[in-house]
Order: sequence, then C-alpha cells, then structure tokens
Amino acid sequence: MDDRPISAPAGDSQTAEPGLAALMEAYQNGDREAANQLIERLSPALHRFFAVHSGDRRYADDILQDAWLRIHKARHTYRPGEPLLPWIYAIARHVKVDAFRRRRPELHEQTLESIPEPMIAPLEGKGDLPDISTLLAHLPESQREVVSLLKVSGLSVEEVARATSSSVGAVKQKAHRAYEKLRVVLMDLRPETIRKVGAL
Amino acid sequence: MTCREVDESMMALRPGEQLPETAQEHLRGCAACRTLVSGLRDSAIDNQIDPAVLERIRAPLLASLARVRPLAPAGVFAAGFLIIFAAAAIADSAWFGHAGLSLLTNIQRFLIFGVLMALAVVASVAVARDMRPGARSVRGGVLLGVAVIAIEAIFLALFHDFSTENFLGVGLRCFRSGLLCVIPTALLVWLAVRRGCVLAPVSTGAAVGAIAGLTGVAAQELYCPVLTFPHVAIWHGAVLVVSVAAGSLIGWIADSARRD
Repeated sequence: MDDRPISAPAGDSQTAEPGLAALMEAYQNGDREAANQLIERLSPALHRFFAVHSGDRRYADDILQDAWLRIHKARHTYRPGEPLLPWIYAIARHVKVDAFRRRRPELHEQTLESIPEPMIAPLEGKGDLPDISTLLAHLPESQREVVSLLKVSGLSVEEVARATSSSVGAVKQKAHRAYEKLRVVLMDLRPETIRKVGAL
Repeated sequence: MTCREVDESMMALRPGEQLPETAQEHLRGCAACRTLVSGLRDSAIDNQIDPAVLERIRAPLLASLARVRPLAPAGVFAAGFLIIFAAAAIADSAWFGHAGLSLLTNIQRFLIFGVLMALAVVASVAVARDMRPGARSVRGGVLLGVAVIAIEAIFLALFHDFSTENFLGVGLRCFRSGLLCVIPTALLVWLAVRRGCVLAPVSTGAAVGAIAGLTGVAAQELYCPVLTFPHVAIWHGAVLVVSVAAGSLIGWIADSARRD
C-alpha cells in the first residue's frame, strides 16, 4: 500500500490567502498593480472551474474573459471586509450559465452538421483515472457545481453556500449525494483502476 | 469512521491539507472511499492559462480602471426601502383618504399593518441582499408565496362577511387605485437598486415588485371601505401578485437584453 497520505488537491490555496481581500479593496480604489495581481492569482482556479463544466479549455478561456469583465463592472458591489471568494464565484457561476445558454444553439447546430473534427480539446486526466470533467459529468448540474467549487476551486463549505445562495446544510447534502454517486461511478467505470488504487 | 464521515472530512479539507488519521484508517479498508478520494485527488486538471489570454483580460480592465465607491451596507438599503414603503403608504392615504382605516377595529389594524410591515421588512432585506453577489437571499418566488399566504390568511381570519355585492365594478376600481399606489414606490426603490442589481434581475425585480405591491395593499387597507372577504382576498391580494409578476417580467426583460 502506498504510504502517501490522502490530501486535498493542491489548487492555488487561494482561500488561505487573506491578502486577496486587501487586493480587492485596492482594485476598487483604482490600483493597477492590485488588479494585475488579482487577475494572476484568481484566474487559474476560475479557469479550472469553467474548464470542468465545459470540458473545453479554449472555451474556458472565453468564459474566463467574460467573467473578468463582469467582475470589473460589478466591483463596486464587493463590500470591503466580506469574504471575497463567494462574491467572485457567485459572479462566475452566473457568467457560466449565461455562456452555456449562448452556446447551446451553437452546439446543436454543430451536432446537426456533424462536424468532422471534435471541437473539444479534452482535459487530460492523470494516470488511470478519468479526468475530473468526465467524472463530474455523471452528476446533476447542482451537485457538479458544488463538488467543483469544493474540490477544483478549493472553497470551503461555507464559501460554497454563500456563492450559491444556499445553506451550509444544502451544500453538504449535495456533496454527500455527489460523493455517493461518484463512488458507484468509479467502481463501475474502471475495475482495473480500482484494483490499482486498491494495491496502492 | 463511516463513509459518510469520510465525506465530511473531505468537505472540510482545505487545499494542501491531509485527511485526518481516522479517515486514512477507514480508507485502508474501504475500496469505494479509497477510489473516490484518489479520483478527486489524482484527476485534478493540469491547466495552464495561455499568457495571451491573461493579457486579453488585463487590457480592457486596466484601460477602464477607475476608483469606485463600494455599495453601502445592506442594512442601509433595507432601511431606505422601508422608509419608502411607509412614506408612500402615508402619501397614498393622504391622496385617497383613509375611510378603510376608520372602519377597522384596533386588533384588525394591528394585525393587518403588522403583517404588511413584517413582509415589507423581509422584501426589503431580500432586495438589499440581491444587490450583492455572494450574499444569501430569499428567492422572489418564495417571497411571493409567503407574502400571499400570510396576507390571505390574515384576511380570512379577520373578515367574515362573504357577500359579493358589486364585486366586479367596485373591485376593479379598488384594484386600479392600488396599482396607482404601486408605481411611485416601484420607481423609487428601483432608483436605489439599479446600481447594485448585477446578477439576478428576475429575483430582484420580484422583490422590488413585492415592496411596491405591499405599499399598494397597505394603501388599499387605508382607503378601501369594503371589508368583505371576497373583495379584500381577490382585489387587494391581486395588487401584490400583479406587482411581483410585473417586477419579475421587467427583470427578465432586462436580463435578456443584457445577455443579447
């Protein structure tokens, strides 16, 4: 058995950085350097969040740009002293929904025309396990969103509750149901992987 | 430790942290949990953002970077909406008179205006919270449901005359006057809200409609001398329902226009 302790995905540890709120305040005051730093530090996790939901890295690039434009326009609605990440992800999930609504007819047309090459650049998983986008595709949207915010974006349960305008209990319930379903999916999906994981 | 407790531990795990020893012990004997934890750990996306994408994000943001004034606290907005609600109801009674109020008993006054005030507080807080992304808020549909049930319940409890004389003619006039009272309140609340309404225009529209509709119902209770249950249940209640529906529709139109 592998002795590696089970840990959370490394992510960007953004929630552990209290400096983000100070940067946001400076950004509201028109500080260019603060705006730059926020874009640098928040974009990777936001991009992962969009990539997991779209399964398409290039498309995630576009949504990321839309998200920053919305964040920029709405920056006066952030109240200094309040948690920043729920505010950011509340905007991000609305941008995501808007983008998918716009994309739906486009995807439908492309399906009808049976495009010759796949337009999706698949996300790569590591090792024998499916990539997380494939894994989470087995979940209903609300559960997928909660798990991706928890495990891909690295938010706490409380932060996810605020970002999704729901209660902590509702978030936990969705996460429990999602984990139960993922256990079944993983066991069914790759018996050989399970054996390998079991042998770790 | 059970599988469910492992779930709890996973939820509490922050980036870079390790599962507690009790959870690790459970994993050694549970293939399903072991696979789940490994799946979520090892299948993380290895994504690098193209520097050109970051540059495309920076350029428009930095070009339009200016100091912005953060929104006032939600409590300030909620208090402001309540003041608008009360002031509009008083102004409406000055305009239309208060024949209805003089016919109500003290208990009826206390219960009706107490419920209306409580609902106005809930709607005001809902609108104020909707102005700020990431703040927990009450959904417009829930708000409408609670408000209608509360108002109809109080009418049913207080008015026991079920006659329907002149139901349509008198009712339509009362309904029209109620809607006239709604419009100024809706405009005033919307003026205060417009700077913060960035994410959920439908929900915000519904809540703005609820505050305005409650003003209309309060005005009706002040001026309307018809105290039969069918009249107040239908024509007074309808002012609230129509206001919320109109607010939701305006929010939906604004949202659609923004998306296009």
